[in-house]
Amino acid sequence: MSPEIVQAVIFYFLAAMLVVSCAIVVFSHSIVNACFALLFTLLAVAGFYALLGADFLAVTQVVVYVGGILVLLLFGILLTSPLPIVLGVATRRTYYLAVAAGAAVFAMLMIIVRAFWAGQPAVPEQQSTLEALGMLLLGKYLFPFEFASLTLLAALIGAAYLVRRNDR
Amino acid sequence: MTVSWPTIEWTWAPLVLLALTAVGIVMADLFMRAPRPALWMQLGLLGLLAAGTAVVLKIPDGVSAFNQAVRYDGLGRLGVLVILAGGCLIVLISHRPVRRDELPAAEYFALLLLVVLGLATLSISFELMAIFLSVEMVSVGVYILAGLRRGDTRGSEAAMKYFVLAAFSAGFLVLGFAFLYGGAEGSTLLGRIALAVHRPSTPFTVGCVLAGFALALTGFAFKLTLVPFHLYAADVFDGAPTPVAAVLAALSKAAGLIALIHLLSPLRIVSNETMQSALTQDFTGLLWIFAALSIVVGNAVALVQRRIKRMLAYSTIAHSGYLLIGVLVFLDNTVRMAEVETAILVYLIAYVLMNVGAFGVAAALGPAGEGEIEHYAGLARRSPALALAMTVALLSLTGIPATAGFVGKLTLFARAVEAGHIALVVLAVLGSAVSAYYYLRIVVYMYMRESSTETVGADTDAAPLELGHKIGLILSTAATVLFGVFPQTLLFLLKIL
Repeated sequence: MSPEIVQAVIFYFLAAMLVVSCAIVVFSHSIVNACFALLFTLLAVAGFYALLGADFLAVTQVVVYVGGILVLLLFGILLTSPLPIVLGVATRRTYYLAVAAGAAVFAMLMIIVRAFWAGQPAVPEQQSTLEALGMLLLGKYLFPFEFASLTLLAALIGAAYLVRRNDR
Repeated sequence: MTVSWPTIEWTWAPLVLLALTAVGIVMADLFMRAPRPALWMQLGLLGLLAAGTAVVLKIPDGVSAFNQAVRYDGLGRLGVLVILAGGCLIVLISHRPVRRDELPAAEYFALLLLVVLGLATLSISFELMAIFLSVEMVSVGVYILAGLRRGDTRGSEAAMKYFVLAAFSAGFLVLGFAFLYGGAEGSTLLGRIALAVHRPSTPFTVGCVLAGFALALTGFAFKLTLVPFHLYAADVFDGAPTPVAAVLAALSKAAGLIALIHLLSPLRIVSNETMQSALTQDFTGLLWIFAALSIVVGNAVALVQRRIKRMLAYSTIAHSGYLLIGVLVFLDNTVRMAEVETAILVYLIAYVLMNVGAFGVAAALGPAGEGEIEHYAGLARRSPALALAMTVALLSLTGIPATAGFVGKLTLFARAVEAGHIALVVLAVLGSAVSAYYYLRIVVYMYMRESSTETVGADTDAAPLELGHKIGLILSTAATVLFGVFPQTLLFLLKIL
């Protein structure tokens, strides 16, 4: 099998996974099921990134969204509700609105792709983005990079204080 | 391509010193058995003074560092010094609140230093990411500082409101920056954005730059509490610990204003290029509306406030309007850049001093003095020194001659008249006249009313004021009078520093 065919197979597999899991997120009546379906949506997106050669972005997607945001969502459900949450049933009107919004976003994306990236190949030349990113972070963008860590330090000090018990 | 490690330079020193002091305080606190508020206060002061010394002695005008991300231009460099000096005063006037409210001293002073670091960086950043991150550093620090009194509902309300609205406004800011990045064809440097303004390559660039500046201006309007983005200010000032409110009132506006000027500097008219002058006209109009609304609404709503910190909050909104006149003058090339910068700096210095004075007295008086204005009745008899400091601060805020506030307003409005913004100056002067009512009302309360029995009972100023707090108030009051009576000293200071 040629690489193109393999890529196409992976692409359609990921696309199917994305659409099906998205549908479950939207239509499921149990918020926990929706959450777990979201896991597969986010993984499929990470798969797309990897397929397009954005290796760092794919790893970040898994670490941040799957590892962080999703766990946060589950914790939120765990901590807020003692009972299983049943989501409200959508009315016909919400479905129409949702379909219209989806179509509008799709149209907008198509216009942007046609207008700006018409002649360009869908998949750029494969090369690791890690090295280039490292060079930028510790070279051209050293200052914002270092400063971001200080901002996180401030957040950490504050979080540690705010959740501490009053017994000190 | 090789990674070139930046050599260690003095341009880093002030920022690194502040960060190290903050981290050092938190680390050292782990090894202390008992809380040591006085020690952390002294360490904080030391860090701020060391950073200031490094700027004065080792960083000449116009030095840039970190691939142009940071530049100590005339306004920014002196702005850093104003912020560091203001930071020192605020550390001093934190002495009583930290001890009385049993705030966690190490965390308090460390976060305060990080906020000052963010503000100092904001006023020398010439790169979009650095600007955004320093704004975020300030916001993160202030959310926590505002909510530091954990049992206090007003404090929690202030922290929550500031958190939600600062996050919201950060969204505007970052979206605007994304557009500017697109307009500058993939560069985050303000210099490159200026190129895009002067020589736009496509209509797409023009649109990006326009949307970018508009959204970024909205983000800054939140930070500078310009009307109609001012609604959180009164609640946040009222609920946050008083020195934190002073940081928001004085320092964060000074830094925000300098950053706004840097950001809008590509729009300063240098020649009659059509694209640029059209853009400048649009934004001049927008800034004019912001300034006029802030002056009118700030002064009008301050008239009916019954709590001192809410009144001061609306007064700072009016002052933001006056300061915005400075930005308008800056965008106009009929006035020399150096003159505009001096006028803005003089106003900012006066503004920081008088706000620190007013908030410092409120902090010294304790919960009652931070609350209803009625509490100030008869203060002149109970504690004459505090009443005097408050009077000087309030006279200066009004803009009465022989105070720094007067000198600030005079220089700024004179430049504005030169640039032809006469309508706005008339509005500002009328606003100042109105403001005399609500500022001087407190002076009348302090000197001409008798204290009622329950106000005397509610006083916590029975204990002698802490030394640090005293020094802070004396310095700010003395400087307000000195710069008001001898404005040459201020100009001399600006020249030699």
